[in-house]
Amino acid sequence: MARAPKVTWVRLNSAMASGMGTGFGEYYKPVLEIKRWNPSPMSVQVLKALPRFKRECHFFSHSEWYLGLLFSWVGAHIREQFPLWPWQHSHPEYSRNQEMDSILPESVGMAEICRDAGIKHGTFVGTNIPYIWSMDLCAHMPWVSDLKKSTCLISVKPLTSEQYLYVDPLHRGTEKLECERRYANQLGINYFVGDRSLFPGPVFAQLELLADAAILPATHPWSYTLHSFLDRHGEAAQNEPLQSIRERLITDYNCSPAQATFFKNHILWNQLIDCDLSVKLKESQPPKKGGLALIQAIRNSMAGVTR
Amino acid sequence: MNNIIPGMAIQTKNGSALLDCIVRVLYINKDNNLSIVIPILPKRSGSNKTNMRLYFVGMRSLPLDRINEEISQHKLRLLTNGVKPRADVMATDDELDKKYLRKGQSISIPRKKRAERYAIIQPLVHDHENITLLFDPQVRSELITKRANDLKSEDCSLKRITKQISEILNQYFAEGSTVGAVTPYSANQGGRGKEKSTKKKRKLGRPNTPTTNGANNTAGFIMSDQDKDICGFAWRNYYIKGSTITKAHRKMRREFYSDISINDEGKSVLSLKRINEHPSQNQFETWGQNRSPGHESWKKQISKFNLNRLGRVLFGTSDSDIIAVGQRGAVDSTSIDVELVSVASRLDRIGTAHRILIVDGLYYYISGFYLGLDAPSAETVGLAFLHSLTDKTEWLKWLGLDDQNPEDWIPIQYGSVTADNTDLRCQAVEEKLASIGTGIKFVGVARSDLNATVETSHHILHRMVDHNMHGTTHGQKHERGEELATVLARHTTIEAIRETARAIYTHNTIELDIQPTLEMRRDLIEKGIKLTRANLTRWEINRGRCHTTLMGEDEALIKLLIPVRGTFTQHGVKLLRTDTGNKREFIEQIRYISHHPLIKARAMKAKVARARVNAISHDDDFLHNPYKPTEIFFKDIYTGELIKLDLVTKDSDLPDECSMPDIVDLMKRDAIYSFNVKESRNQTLSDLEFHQEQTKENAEEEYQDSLSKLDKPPSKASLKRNKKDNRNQEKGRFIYGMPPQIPENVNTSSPPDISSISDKNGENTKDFITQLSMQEMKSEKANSVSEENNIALAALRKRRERRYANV
Repeated sequence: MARAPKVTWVRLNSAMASGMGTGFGEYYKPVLEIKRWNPSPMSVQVLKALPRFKRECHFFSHSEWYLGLLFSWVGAHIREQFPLWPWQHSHPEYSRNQEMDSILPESVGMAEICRDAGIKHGTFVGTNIPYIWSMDLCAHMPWVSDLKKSTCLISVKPLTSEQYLYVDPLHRGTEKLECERRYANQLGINYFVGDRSLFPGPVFAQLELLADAAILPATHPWSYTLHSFLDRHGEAAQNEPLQSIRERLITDYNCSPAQATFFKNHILWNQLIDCDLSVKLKESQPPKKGGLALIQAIRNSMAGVTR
Repeated sequence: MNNIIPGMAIQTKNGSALLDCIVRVLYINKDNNLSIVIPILPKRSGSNKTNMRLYFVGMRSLPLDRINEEISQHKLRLLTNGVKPRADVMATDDELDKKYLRKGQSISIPRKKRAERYAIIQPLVHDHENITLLFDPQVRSELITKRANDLKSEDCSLKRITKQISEILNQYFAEGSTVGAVTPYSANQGGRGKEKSTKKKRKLGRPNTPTTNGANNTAGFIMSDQDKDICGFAWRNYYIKGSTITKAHRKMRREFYSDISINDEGKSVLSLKRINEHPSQNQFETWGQNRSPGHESWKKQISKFNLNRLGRVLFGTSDSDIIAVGQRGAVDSTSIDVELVSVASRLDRIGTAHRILIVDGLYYYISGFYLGLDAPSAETVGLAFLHSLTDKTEWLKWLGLDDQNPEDWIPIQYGSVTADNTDLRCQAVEEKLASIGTGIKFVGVARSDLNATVETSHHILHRMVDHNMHGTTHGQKHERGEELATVLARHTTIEAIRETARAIYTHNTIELDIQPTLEMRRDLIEKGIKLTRANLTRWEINRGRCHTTLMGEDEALIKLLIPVRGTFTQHGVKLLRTDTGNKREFIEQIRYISHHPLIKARAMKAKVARARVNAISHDDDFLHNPYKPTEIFFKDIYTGELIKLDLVTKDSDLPDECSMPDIVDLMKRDAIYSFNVKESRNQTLSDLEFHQEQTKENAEEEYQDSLSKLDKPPSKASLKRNKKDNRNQEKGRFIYGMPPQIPENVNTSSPPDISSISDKNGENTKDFITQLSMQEMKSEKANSVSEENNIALAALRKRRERRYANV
């Protein structure tokens, strides 16, 4: 296994100059990437693009991937391994909308936050270069109109493991969580610690299957077929067995089986018919309603809205 | 207006003026705008924990419209499903016994108390029709008094029994109006696993031996809360791998229960406190574990790495969230357990080979593999994925596996694949797989158990193929006395590929010994379809339970195809060999054609402009599938169109018998043959030229002889003169304008009389020639050849002498 490159100021500056930890959507560059030299002794690392973007995302645990997928499903734009710079820096949404940049608060930087909390910030091993903390997931919520609060930081930790079931306040992991909370608090944005055990199990498996059918460009030749189908059978499909979607597309619209499967997956991902993905789907039964409500509930939870 | 009915619960939210706790609805009378509710949770009396008593408060009458109003104002919340009762309320008598029965008891105390308490109120509540009477305070009071009088005894006063009935009734209504509702709160009264709190500070547990024997001041240590925390700390931090409980206990005593003193030498000495001044080892063990949840004793002796694997209860497997074909595959490589020999000579040992498998996670269907001498790399992993996506008809034909149904080799495109941190963890593979929309999931270091899908398949193939072949290592170290696998090696790589393909086909099509689901039974078994991996995979695909993307299989295939350099010629596209360095050399036997206008235009350009431009300008990149040599693709960079070109060859067996490397290999072998042919041709042409030289020399000599007979050399004008007459005379001597073939034994010293041997049709000549026996002709010819050779040899020597002289 290759060795990690030694961190120097020159290297760090050049990485920052190349856009490390900046950008939005397709052009975001995470601060940590999966390389030959950083395999995990514990976690399953995932390298795959999230729907809406072609950029390969670097998730350092399976839970990160699943949560990233879930939040993408509800409409959030995910930036994984988001840097929390040690020095004073701008708001995570800075430069998304230049007209709004002036009203976004600045962060004092992790170094100061750690100092206030009485926690050691840390340096790169063998150097005096301050370590760059990274947030597992930084989600932009387009449905939140206030840009200042349209970010949600998520720290993905194995909540069922003993380390987090029986929290030792002196443990470094817990200290770091506290600093992350303070960071989010200082910026006035929502923050929570989570993992996949917080959400119903089947939703992840189903989203993983449907994710690759999430996007169908409006200009794609198949788009017309889909809209024709939805115009004519969209409402009826809500009350018919799931398998009838495919059957109808194959028989009435001359779709190939693979095409019909794609359409069905696309419909389910985008909730073009309301279908609760948190329960196991049964092809022989009509879709159970509740998908849209689930999306709304997750959106509210991310935005910190309480009813 | 909310439809509030008895049994529902009402929860307070923000600023309710009516309620301050959660209540159960007992009675609703809309006509009188009346609702009767009762708080569900008991109240506590007494501040001291040990004196604490639980009691239920009575019912309350509330105006219904006010409740509805507060619900609409979100001050109250209506719980339409009520609230979940306590576990003991729901428990049957047997369940209570199972939970609370102590040694020597035939009926547990909670069960007994429940029965007693219900018996007290039974006459009041058993009549369900009149139970509403109890909601009227005046009636209830009367009924309770009446019942109290019935139960009155010398042991218990009327006042006390009245209060008891009232309390039991409150609990009965608060907890759901069932028999179980009156179950006492025994679960709050200590029990196994609970920390016992004593009124006086006294030692828990049995007395130690000295105390039992009457010794004073030797009673065991009484644990304070701080001591318990110290035990917890010591348990967590001192009882670690490599240590023992006894050692950890001693260290705790040293650190927390010792006195520091200075000895005579001025050094500090730790003197441990006496036996009843520190927690005993048993106390350490008990309270250490008690105050350190998650630090159970058994975990202390397992390494951190293994604890990660063992220390959690996982109700599932790593592939339990796979619900469709292609959702997640698994890739891994291994070396085969067989030593191989060379294709060229079976006496040459070439060692073992590498095998990369791609397995679908749903039914462990193996969709593709690579087997070859190249180690796992971006190229070979790409080939394995290419194989997984390719239609395998041609490949099976090449291997001679005509008995296999190509449809049972189902091409699968994966959404993601699980891999360990070896073959796929490089940028080239990551980019290649990203281009076909396949993500990669790297399992933890040395956690191949998380990639069980493919690891099991490796194991299956080792047993199904490798260990049954000549030259197998059986996957074990060589033992003394055993014949070396290298010595026993007999099989070539092609045979290994063929047998692996055969085994995978068997693995995919063998009937599975599994418990069929109801769907499988209905859709497959009842229709006579066997439960095989191939059938199950196909069934799932047909039902639409498979991974799909906008990128079709063909497009994904194109991304995995291997680029190959070719040249447009007037006859189509010829591929260039890759093993010849800068030298441009075609793979001659095959060419590819297409009637696409672009291909025709390029071929035309190659035909008409071949001399005007550099040959390299006709070169271009094509895409090629080594598992399907009958087609290549050309990508038009301007339109992005992929144009398919079909193979044309004079050797019709070639596409079926040879892969592309085989064809190149054949060319190499043909090169040796061509070299020999060239030598032979040179020899033959040299002979020809030699005889031409000889003929020329003879002719020249005879011409010079003829010239020497003349007085003076003829002029050029005289040589040109009479050419026509000479020609006619010559023609007269010839038959059909050709010199007649005259047998060599005919005396040719005098000119033959043509008319005597030939008539107009030349029939006599033929007869004359056939008169000679073949035998004679041969001997004559041999003599003549030998004589000619002698003359030629002499002439050759003469010429060489002349040449040397000139030199």
